[in-house]
Amino acid sequence: MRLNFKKMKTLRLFRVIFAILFFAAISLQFFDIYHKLPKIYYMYPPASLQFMPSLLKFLAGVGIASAWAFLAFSGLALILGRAYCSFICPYGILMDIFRKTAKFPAENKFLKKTALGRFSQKNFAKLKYAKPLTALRISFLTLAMLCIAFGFGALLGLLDPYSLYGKIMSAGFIAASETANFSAATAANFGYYGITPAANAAVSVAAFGFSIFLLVLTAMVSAKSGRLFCNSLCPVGTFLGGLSKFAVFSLQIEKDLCVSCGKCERDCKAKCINIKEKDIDFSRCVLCLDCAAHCPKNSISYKINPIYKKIFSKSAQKSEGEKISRRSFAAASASIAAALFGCKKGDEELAKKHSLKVLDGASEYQIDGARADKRLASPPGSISIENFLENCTACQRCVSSCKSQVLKASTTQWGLAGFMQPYMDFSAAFCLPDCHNCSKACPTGAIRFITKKQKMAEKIGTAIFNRELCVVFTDGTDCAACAEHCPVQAIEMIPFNEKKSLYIPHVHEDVCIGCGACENVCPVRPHTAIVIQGLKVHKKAIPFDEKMRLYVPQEKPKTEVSAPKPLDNPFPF
Amino acid sequence: MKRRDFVKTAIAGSAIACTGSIFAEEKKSAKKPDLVAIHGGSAAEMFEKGIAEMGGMSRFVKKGQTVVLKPNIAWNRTPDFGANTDPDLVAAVVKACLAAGAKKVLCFDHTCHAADDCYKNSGTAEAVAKAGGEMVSGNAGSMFVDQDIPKGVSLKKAKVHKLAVEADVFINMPVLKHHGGTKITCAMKNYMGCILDRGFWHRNDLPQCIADFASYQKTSLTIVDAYHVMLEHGPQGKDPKFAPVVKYQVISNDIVAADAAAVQIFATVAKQYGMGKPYTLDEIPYIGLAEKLGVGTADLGKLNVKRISVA
Repeated sequence: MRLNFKKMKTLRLFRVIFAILFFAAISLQFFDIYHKLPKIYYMYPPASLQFMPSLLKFLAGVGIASAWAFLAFSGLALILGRAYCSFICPYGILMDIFRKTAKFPAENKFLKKTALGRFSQKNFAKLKYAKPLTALRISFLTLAMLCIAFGFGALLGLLDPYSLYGKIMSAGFIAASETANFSAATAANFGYYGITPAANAAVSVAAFGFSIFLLVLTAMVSAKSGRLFCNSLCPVGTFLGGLSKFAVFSLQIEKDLCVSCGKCERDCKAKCINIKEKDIDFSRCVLCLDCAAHCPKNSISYKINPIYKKIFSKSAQKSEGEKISRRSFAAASASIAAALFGCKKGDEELAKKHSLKVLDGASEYQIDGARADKRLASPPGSISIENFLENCTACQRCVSSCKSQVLKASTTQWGLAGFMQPYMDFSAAFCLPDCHNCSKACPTGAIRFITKKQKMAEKIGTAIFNRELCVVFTDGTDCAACAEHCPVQAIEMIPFNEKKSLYIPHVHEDVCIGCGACENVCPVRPHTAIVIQGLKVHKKAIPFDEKMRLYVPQEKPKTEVSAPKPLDNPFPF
Repeated sequence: MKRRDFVKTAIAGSAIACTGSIFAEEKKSAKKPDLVAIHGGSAAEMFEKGIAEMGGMSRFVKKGQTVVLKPNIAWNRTPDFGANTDPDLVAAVVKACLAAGAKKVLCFDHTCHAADDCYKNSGTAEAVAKAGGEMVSGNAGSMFVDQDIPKGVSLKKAKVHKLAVEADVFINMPVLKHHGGTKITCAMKNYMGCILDRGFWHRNDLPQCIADFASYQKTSLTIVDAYHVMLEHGPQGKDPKFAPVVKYQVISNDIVAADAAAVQIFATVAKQYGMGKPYTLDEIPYIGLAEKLGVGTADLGKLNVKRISVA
């Protein structure tokens, strides 16, 4: 049984079209600077087909209904091979795009003769079979499994292809936002206001630099060596490769038809065709189907895997069992973890001068030089900081979905081990009351889906007000910036002086959800008078009730008056 | 010689022309009111009655001018919260300006919540577009230009939205509501949506900064929307029940007088509904401070005030 040449050509064409469309679809989320993607995009997000995120989501206990992709592609690998790598993996498709672009001048009939064409011909046109790097591949797969086992989400995100792709695309998001803002400003100078500026993108210089670095590195390596990453470092590639060794059908060279012209080997971006042996290493084949579609002798096609011809032997499928104790285990056992988990110190001078309040269950993550009672919070929907850090692979999808851009790629805010995992930067923005985009965007289960209503009741932290820093106390002038921005009435303005001409904030701590609006707008510098103290484990907030008021401006009638008396003369002046 | 003669005659000529037009303007507006307070109709209806009494929109908008409206659209709230200026009123003003011959009518606010949410859910974006006006972003830092505030006491410099700076006619369209910090927010406080760095105001004597900016910003007309008046939980609002429908509106070319009238309306309504605090004028410090800077007068007795009740 074998597929004929025409069918292989059609199949390859389908692969190319599918990959381009899928890549465009999944990349949309990183260019959605106005947050206008339709609801259906969030109901069936392309990112939900990603292997590692869906595995993490499954292990996080979200359930198989929304985390089935890793099973589907593992199953597919056992039948047809690593279809994930060429059809679905956006990082792989990105590499293919780079490689195709690099090869283009050498293949184009107009450019062929130019210097560019010759350069391309010399450097990019031909690839050669490479030996498998089995030891390296197994060790990176083991490393990835350890990351999953111990909950090092950010480190896993440096191996997982989707998360690497996301990191690269986050630079695209920033570039798109900046372009929109620049064009809007330029157009406005000519009196045209039709271009809407985007919210200023939350740029963290180190993270942006890293994205660009990844982009350049990926472009260079893939132009020169094709899918080198996929067959040396990528844990998903190694895992699916291991399975596809036992695939029912595999691509094989018909030894009688093959004339050893070497075209397939030169074109193979996975470097897995050995023309001398007339052999395809199917565990490394990314299923691009180029070889089969371009073989002049039509000698490459899908056939029953030879190992099944011999015997239907035991399938040594690797399984990744449920872990027992994750991040906490590692944190307890290794002292190196202390450095990785980040021991930031707040401003000590301030801590000496003012008594700073740290509530029970407060997050331990401080920010260098900030108020020591200011603690990082994890976004609403993430259940706890632990759940967030264990499952987030820093793919940056939530960052690009964040309407206010309060979510920002971290550098060392979560410790070194959390590089690029997003944190909420309340000095830049605050978490908008009517937005739950990140909970819709997250593919890994680090942030679970919550409705807008649930979000408004999820307490991620508490506003801690320091009276002695407040401008009402220090300058004796009106402010109330915090109270006016509080979306849940957790901040009440109570009389500050006898005359009741000045009012000072009071925080109803159980009502506060920790959105950070108060901290964001507080005008006091260098330390704001009100800060968010994140919670280790999120709680449910209590909705504000008028009975909680400390200050009642007017004694209200005991019985509700249905309609107030109309006035004889409506004008008081 | 000839050139010099020409310049001389030109100066003399234009001087005569100027004084002439000033006299003409004074004569015309002598009988026209400085402040019109309206009660009882829909926001758009009250505006139409009120602006007719003020002498029509053509008193303020001349042919070919660019008009900029500054309503309050700061919050992602529906109109019944009374947190933003009534969208029907904004639409009515856009139409009136265009009817008076305005070249274009632009509308912006530096919002507190995400701009697109505020513009959309307040109903302003749709109302303005339908009426023929144009919404402009008020949040992008690139839209703000450095300005000196010569009379400023606390606020000497500010980054001001370019529309507020460049407008031929600038119409302030605040909504009257409670405010946790300044007690009442209305006309002068609405100007915080024209500037970039609000934090500076909050940390450098907020009422003084409000008065300082009012001394700088040229305002052709102030239209106070008090159709809903949010009496408690201002300025963002918690529930529409804190913003009863009281159907007031104030139109004036004196921003301080408009604020003074608004405070008195607020106090009346607060007493009537038993909600919020009936503030007195001297409890709202920025009104007195602005008066001191010569921005306008809070003494309505000095002005030609018209009161209209719409049945």
